[in-house]
Amino acid sequence: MNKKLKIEGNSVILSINPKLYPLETIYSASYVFLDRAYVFLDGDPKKEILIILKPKEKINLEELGGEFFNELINYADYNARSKETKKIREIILQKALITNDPISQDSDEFDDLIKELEDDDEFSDDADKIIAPWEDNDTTKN
Amino acid sequence: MTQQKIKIILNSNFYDKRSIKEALKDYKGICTGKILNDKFDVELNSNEHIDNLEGEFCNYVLGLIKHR
Repeated sequence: MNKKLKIEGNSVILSINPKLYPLETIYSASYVFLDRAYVFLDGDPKKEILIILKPKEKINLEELGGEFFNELINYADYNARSKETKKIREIILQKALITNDPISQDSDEFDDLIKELEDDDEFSDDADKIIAPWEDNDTTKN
Repeated sequence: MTQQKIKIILNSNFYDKRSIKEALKDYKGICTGKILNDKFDVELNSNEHIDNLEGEFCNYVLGLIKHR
């Protein structure tokens, strides 16, 4: 049996190294198990964290403990990636907000961009009178 | 009717006083309880037997910490 996993009565006690898994990750993994087991947190967050899982229904305790360790790896990876991509997510959000911001659309920069588009030959060549509202071109109307 | 008295020790490194107090308030219809000291020894008293009351209470406190 793994020394990080100890079975006592109808509970399984997991020993976790806080240097490997931060407290945030341990909390996240614990929340996943709230509907399947009673979760008790104990120990020293600087030396050794103990997770006591008492299943609500009769299940294999070793398997339950193993699943908890897997969930720890899952959340450790998720948190690491989340921190890695934080900057890019912020940039994407910022861009999205600026694009939809009416204030920034009123800015000189926005006006210059519109003027540039109007001056562009590709847009000024309106032989088919697409730019004019269709009501103005409608000859069938009385 | 059997009275139930449970003492739970919640490690102050992982559980916060505010969440425990809120949980005790929410559990008022089920049982009464109090924090006995700064190490968060919690005593729960109920008029009838409730299965795994301590486990349910601890999970509830954890749930509150999650939403904080």
